Amino acid sequence: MSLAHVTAKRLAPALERQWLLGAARFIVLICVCVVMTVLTRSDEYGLVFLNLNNLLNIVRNASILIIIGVGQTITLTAKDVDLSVGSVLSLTSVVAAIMLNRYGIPFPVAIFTALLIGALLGLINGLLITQVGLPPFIATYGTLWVLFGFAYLILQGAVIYGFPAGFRVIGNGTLLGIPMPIIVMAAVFGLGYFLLYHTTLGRRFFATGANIETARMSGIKVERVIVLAYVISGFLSALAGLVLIAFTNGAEARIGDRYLLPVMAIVVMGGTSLAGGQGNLLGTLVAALIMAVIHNGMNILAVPAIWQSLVVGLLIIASVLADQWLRRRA
Amino acid sequence: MDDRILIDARGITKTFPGVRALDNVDFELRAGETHILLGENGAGKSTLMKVLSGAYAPDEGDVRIDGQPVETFDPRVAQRMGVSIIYQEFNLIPYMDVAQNIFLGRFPKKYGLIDHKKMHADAAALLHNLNMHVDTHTLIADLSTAQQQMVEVAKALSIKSKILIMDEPTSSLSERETEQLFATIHQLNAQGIGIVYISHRLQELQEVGHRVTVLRDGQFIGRKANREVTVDELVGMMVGHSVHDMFERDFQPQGAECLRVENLSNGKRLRGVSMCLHRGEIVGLAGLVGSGRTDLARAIFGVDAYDSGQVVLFGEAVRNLDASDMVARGISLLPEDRKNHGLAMILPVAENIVVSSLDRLFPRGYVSRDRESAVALQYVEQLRIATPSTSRLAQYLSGGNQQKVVLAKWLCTKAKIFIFDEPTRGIDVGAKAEIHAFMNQLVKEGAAVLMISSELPEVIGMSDRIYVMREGRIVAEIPHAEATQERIIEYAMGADEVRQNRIQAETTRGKGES
Amino acid sequence: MRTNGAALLLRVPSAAWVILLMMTVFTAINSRYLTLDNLVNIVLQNAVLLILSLGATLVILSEGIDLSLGSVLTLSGVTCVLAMKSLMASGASNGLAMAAGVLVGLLTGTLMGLVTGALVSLGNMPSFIASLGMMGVGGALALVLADSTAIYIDNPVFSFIGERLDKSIDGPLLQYLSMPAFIAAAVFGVVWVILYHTPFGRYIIAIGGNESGARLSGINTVSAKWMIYVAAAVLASISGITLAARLEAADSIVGVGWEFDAIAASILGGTSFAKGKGGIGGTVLGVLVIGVTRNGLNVIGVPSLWQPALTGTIIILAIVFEIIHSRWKEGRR
Repeated sequence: MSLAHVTAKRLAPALERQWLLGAARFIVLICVCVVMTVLTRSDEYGLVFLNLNNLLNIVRNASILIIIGVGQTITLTAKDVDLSVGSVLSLTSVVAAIMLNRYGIPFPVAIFTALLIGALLGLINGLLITQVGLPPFIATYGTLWVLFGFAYLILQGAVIYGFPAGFRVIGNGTLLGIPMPIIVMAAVFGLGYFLLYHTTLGRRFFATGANIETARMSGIKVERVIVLAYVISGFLSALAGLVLIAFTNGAEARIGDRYLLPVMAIVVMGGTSLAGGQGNLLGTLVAALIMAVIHNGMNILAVPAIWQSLVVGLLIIASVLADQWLRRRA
Repeated sequence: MDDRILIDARGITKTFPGVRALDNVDFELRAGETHILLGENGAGKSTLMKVLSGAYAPDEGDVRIDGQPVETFDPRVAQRMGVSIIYQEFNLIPYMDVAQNIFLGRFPKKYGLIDHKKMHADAAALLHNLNMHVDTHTLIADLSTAQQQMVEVAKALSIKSKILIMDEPTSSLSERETEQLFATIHQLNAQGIGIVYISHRLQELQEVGHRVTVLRDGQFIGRKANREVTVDELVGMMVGHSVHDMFERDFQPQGAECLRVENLSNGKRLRGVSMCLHRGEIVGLAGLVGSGRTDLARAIFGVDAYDSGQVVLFGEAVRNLDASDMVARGISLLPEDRKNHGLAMILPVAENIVVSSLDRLFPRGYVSRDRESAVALQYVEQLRIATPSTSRLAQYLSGGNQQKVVLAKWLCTKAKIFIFDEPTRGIDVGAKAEIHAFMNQLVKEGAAVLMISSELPEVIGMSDRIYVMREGRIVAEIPHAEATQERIIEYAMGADEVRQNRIQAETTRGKGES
Repeated sequence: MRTNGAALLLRVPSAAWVILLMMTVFTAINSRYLTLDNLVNIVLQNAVLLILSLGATLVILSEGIDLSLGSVLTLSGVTCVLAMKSLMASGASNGLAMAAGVLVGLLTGTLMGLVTGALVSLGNMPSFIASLGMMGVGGALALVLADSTAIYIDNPVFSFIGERLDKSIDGPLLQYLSMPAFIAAAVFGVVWVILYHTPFGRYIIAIGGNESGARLSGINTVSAKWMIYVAAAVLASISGITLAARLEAADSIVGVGWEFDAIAASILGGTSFAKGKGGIGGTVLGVLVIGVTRNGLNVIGVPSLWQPALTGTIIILAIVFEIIHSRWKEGRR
């Protein structure tokens, strides 16, 4: 009997298993940081990885992903995946970008509009799932492509560059020395954590995702709950997009494409079950940081970007297999 | 019926955690015979059936099929030995046609491809033998339940089964379809095939069955020839005077009416149900599986819609409200399937307990873990739920404790009407007594309880009044003082109808003769 | 009278109604839409999609989903062209190089399918996650190999399988026929035979309809399930190779998102995610819906910027229509 087997068996009850996996994730994060520190150490520049600037960079880069990840964790808790997050981000960013850059609309209006559109797109997803009865991955995969089409239509392959300084604050401003994206991310994470674990709505998300029939028979209006989860995800995707374009000072139609696979990776790696009812926000956060560290390290080491997405794909598969394996041992 | 013995099962014992499903049971089937397996819910019929078909291996006992001892208990081995079983939920593939279903996994081939012509010809021949005239190209999904059943029979015949086990075959059939089934059964018997026929319905004994074996509480009670036994004798055998730890009820005077159902129908199982419930009473709802009791509970509670009739709750007529509205009005349902409908297994005990009372406990939307645990702990102590902590996941509790969690959930809502669907099924004796005590306490404090149960001693011991349902209707209302197991079974199975028919038959015959 | 109309509405597949509606609208807007030449174009443009969609349909029939098929298409095209180029560079003849390239492409698909299938059937992973992961892996591999640029290939023998027949052969009527269409028809025929006339094909439906029932009937559901994913990937690689022949190039961008079209085509054709309902005949209609839409929007002059958005919306609406249509049909059963 291998050590892993023995360990898994003794820690069988899922509660303990969650703790073990959570701790494992933290350990992985620390290990990865150590590895990167060692690998990137150079005589010329000293500790390239382990300095404040770089670390802040890492967290800032992870912020966009984490904001989207909070939304994805919520939909997974209440029901299932939301594959449209990248396209929602793209479309809402494009709309905001045009409003800000081409029409000079005051940025609070632009921000509000983008967030509203995000929420409405989430509503459409939710309705397709609860009223039409489409399986979530079909519904959101469909909206993914339709929204991409609209983003492309509006922006026509061009890139918009240059936003008013007032708007850009949310991307490149700092508060007490901490970059704004991190502040926004922390706020979103904090609110999301509070919502999911300390409100009646959060309890309803868990109940609906854990067993929709039981939830219905316990008096929960499950359709409403599911729609709300997708509205939140759409809203957060839009918010992430706003922070992103404020930071990069530019927008284009495919800007959100690269986020879908990483978001799926971090929620799966973070321990949120694809079956519903087991959202792990903290895990999502740690997993996002792990990935950000790996990306950062690979960038410093000049590994071609192509290998990086390969790593992401493999990470997803590895985490799911590990989770299945542990589940079967328990 | 000839003398060749197809099934010779002796001393079959099968135990599951906490319950002895079969205790030293014998069973015998001769070639060309239809042998009826009779007994109440939970008597052990289904377990015996699964042993005979290889789905379960017995803890003790021997089974011989056509003289061959059974070494391995596996469904495919059983099939090879000639035993086929037709469950109530068929094992057919809905979007494949009849012939393909019959020959699934054994397609006749020609040059490596499926020989459709031969397959359909053989299938048609099989159906023809069964007097079924359905195009073998029809999809299973387009067939009626009766026709699908015939396909299952044809499938069994196609693998040359000598023994057919049929589990409640007439439960979804119309009268005419039942007649056709019986004709088929007679035909199969004539061909030497033995049939084990599991049923509740006493009327059917008039038309099929050479011998009857009665089980009760996992024990073999007796085996009789059908012609030589009366309905009353059979009922007497099925009912026992088993000793249970019955909780003494403190019967209250009947309070105000809190729930009334008028002529509820839903086009499926419910055919005009009318009943009422008062505060301070426990009303038992007895009847066979499939008589519509759970459907009634779900319709009242708002989970399933109904077509006609109405529900009057606390004097107010409510029409097709959904579950969340009904919960808000103080009614609760503890479902039959507590794992899939009563609990969220992967969530902790505390969350399961508060899930229906969220707005009441946390009016401003903020959920404090401390308050949640404290409230849950209160019920854990009150109901003596055995769990190391309120954050333990529900799936790790024993059956009895899981049921207590479900009860805690509804107590937490401060409901006034409780519908229990099989509250003590699969629960050990100790927890059972506790749940009965809580029910008693509930009605003492002014609540009303509607208890669906298949355990007659429980129904009789706990109920102020007992409704008996049969085939979607309430056929009897029996006050506590007049309740006996015999009476309930008679109404549940239609013995009264059998007696009626016999009386009518004799009367007409008498008239004819005179 | 009313019931007859409704019955007719229901018996004809919903996709056929959508096609009819759209063709009518397009012809009304621009009468030059309804020419033989244009219709042939539609077939040519969508032959590749049909082959891909057949694979998607098989997986959906077994109650699974394969999101990696687009990546398999891309990767197979890339490996095929690269293999061909390297053989041609070392002096092999065009025909030999093409044979090798095709073989390599098919092998690529087989390997991808083996991995995906193993993850689903042996690893018990939800097919959605397994295929999503493989989609990433496949796409990344294609990027690695193709280096983010297009790889051109000049091999007339290879290009032949991707073009209209009148390009290289003289003869009447040949301008209406194309090799991709032939390949698609041939593949369709083979898949038809497999699905309806071999035990394996029946096992696909059985697993989708009642997996435990299938197992009880003695079917080895694990190996059958595995093979389904291999078959779908092989079909995807055939479509990738054919597409590369048509474009006379391979790159890592083409094929991205095609699995959506393939899945949508299957759904539009009546294959549902429950119980093994549907079939590949419907998939042809589904592909036509998508093809007619794309082609039509183009011909009537919709700006290319509007096209993806409109196409996507129309497809979603058509899917919703198909779901309502089939629910209506079920209700009358």
